[in-house]
Amino acid sequence: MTPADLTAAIPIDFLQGPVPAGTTVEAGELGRRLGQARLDLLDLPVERVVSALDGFSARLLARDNPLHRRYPGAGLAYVASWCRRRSLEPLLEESLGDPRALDEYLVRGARASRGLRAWPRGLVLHWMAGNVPTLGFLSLLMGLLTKNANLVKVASSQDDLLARLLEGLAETPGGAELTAAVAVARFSHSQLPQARAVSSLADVRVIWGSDESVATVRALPSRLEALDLVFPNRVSFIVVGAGMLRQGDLKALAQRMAQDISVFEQKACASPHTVFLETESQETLESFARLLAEALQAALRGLPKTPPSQREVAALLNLRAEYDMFHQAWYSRGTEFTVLSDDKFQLGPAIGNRTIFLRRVADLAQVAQLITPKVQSVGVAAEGAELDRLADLLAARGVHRFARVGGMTSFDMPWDGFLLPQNLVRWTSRPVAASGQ
Amino acid sequence: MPFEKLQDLLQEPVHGRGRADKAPKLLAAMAEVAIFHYEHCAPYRTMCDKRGFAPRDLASLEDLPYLPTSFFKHTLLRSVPEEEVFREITSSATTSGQPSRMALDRETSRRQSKCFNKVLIDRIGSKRFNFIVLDEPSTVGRSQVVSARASTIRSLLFCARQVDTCVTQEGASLVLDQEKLDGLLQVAQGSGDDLMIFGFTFILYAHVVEPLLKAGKSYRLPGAKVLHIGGWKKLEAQKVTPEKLVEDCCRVFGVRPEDVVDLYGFTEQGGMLYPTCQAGRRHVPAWGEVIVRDPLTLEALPAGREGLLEFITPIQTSYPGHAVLTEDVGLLLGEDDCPCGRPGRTFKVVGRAPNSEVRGCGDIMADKFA
Repeated sequence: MTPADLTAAIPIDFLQGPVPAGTTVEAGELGRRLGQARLDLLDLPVERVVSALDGFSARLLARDNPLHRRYPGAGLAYVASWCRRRSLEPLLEESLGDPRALDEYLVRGARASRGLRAWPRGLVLHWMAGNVPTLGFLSLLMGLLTKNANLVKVASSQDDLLARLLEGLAETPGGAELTAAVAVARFSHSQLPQARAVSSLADVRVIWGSDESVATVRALPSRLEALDLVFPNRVSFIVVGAGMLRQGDLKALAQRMAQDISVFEQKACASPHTVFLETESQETLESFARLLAEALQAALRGLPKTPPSQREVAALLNLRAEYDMFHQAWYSRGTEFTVLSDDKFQLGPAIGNRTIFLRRVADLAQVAQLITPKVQSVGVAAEGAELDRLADLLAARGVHRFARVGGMTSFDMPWDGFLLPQNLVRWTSRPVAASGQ
Repeated sequence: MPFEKLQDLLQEPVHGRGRADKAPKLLAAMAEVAIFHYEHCAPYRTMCDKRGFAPRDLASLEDLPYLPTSFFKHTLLRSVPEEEVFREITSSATTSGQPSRMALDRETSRRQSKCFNKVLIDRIGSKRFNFIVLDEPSTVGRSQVVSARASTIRSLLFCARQVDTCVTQEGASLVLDQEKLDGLLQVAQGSGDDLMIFGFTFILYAHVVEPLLKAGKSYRLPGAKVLHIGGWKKLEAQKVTPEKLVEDCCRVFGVRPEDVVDLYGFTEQGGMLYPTCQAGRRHVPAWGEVIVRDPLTLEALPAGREGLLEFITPIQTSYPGHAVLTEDVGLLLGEDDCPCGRPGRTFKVVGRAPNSEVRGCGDIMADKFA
């Protein structure tokens, strides 16, 4: 493969601090600056990293923070909740054992003569998809926690929220030390020299996007030893157990389900597109469909609908007509939401715009036949032995995550099978004194 | 007599006699046709029942259930017995790969042709023209298999005295025969009144008008007409507006602006044609109506607001294509107030979504042009 041209001018939104609009930096220079910043980060104790992010969380949650007005509905409270100490410390513990391993050699397990330390891998390139705007920051957060330098590549059509969040972090006590190791690049998929150049700088490429865009990025030049963590298209669905249908609070369940269906206009990979009800009764299904339609209507108050494109409208009306003629459909007066039911045994298709397929199965275990590597999250409305049996069955076939209905689209670790901080470090070992010093 | 109200409506002047006269007649014809489809097309009836729509109670055109154009890609609906279907019409292949399919009986087909011709004659006059078709000879010749592109061209030739083509097929590509075109235009300079230049919009502009302009070449064809149809998608990408196209046609061919006519129509409602008038607006004939719908609420929008274009007409009786929502964005310009003097609603097609598929013969043909 032809080496990338590191003289390519990279359009920049943020580089170690705010930059004037229209700033470009040569890729080689960008790599040098982030490389130096990465070395500086090594001396920063992980506790200081967590502390700065916790401070940023408080700042972000402040009512007078102008970002709330500027980016309504962007999920800033959610970003803030991720930055809190009480989120970050358990995440580091789950991923690395003792987070202090990022600062020093620690003796772990039975091998008292050897210490282990987690080192940042270097420069992490976060290649973002445009469907979930806040995801860029959450991906970046994983890189910062592990003391890596980070280059976030956003789509040319993306808003400037990420740069504004980083400006806020830079103004937080201790935050500038972190943002010194961060850059945000913005260019379109057609700017191949830029894409090749930033790709070739990375030690880790965290790639979010459609199957096509993930494949395109993977085909860009990269370092031989670079690690790729890919997050391509995924589909998700919900299962409702027979016990829940018999005795559960179905109205509350429908409300939580409506939340999952409405967030991000169903564009997230964790958004459900199908609900399987464990029942053979069409009446039960129809009665639940009506509850769900009411809940989706009510959810519009908190999550107003983004107007769909002409093509999306056509797809929705097409399905409504088809299901009115040949199956069952419940929907809003406008294009806000659509509940569809048929006798098919399949996932989706993923239509988006709050369109959900409601399907009956005699036994939820049958759903295992539909699991492919493309399935990400399963929202589960079942308890006890029913849940245990189902979770094991589906996980063994490739499901990455089980979530409570109502919390499906909350970013979580592990995600798509990765405990991200774990994948953003490399481990070294060395002999230590018998005392462990 | 079957479709009595519809027959009455088709006796009206092409653009009717104004809103007060048109509205009740069109509503009555639409109710008549909706009842017919309800009674003769079971899936349509099921849909109406589920939506609580009773055609006999139709009070407003806005209440009619409509089908999106994409619906016809996967479902062939019929309101006549299968043995009465004499032709299945398919639209141009699209980037989705699936053409729309419509079942036509002889009556619908005849009615469509009649309506189409009336609208075209109203716009270009009833005389016969010498056509220069910017396409290859097979599109105007006789053949068993008729492509959607050829079908569009042939439907216009009822008013042709003579037809010449000036494009040749070279392998998979189409190539403009510039020499032949120049010769035809030179000859026509003396008898411009009889000339009709017809082409798909992109071909007309990108392969004829623009190159001639660049070469500094122009003709004097006052009274000649330039007729074009098809997608604007590719021209929009080149920032060519309808106004610029008219202006440049006038510069190159020496025609009057009002003689450059942009046709709009779609296969799912064959027979309905919406040419730009002398004032540049599009009119709906007496046997049709246009409604602009908000993409979120689906409510009908007032004049001046952009939304999705829905077209209503009772002329399709073999399938329930009487109310169709397109993916095209447009707006109502007014009603009974067009400077050209034609009554009825006027509208403008603004375009299609950036992510919408390439659709229509013009866009498809543009891909083939060398």
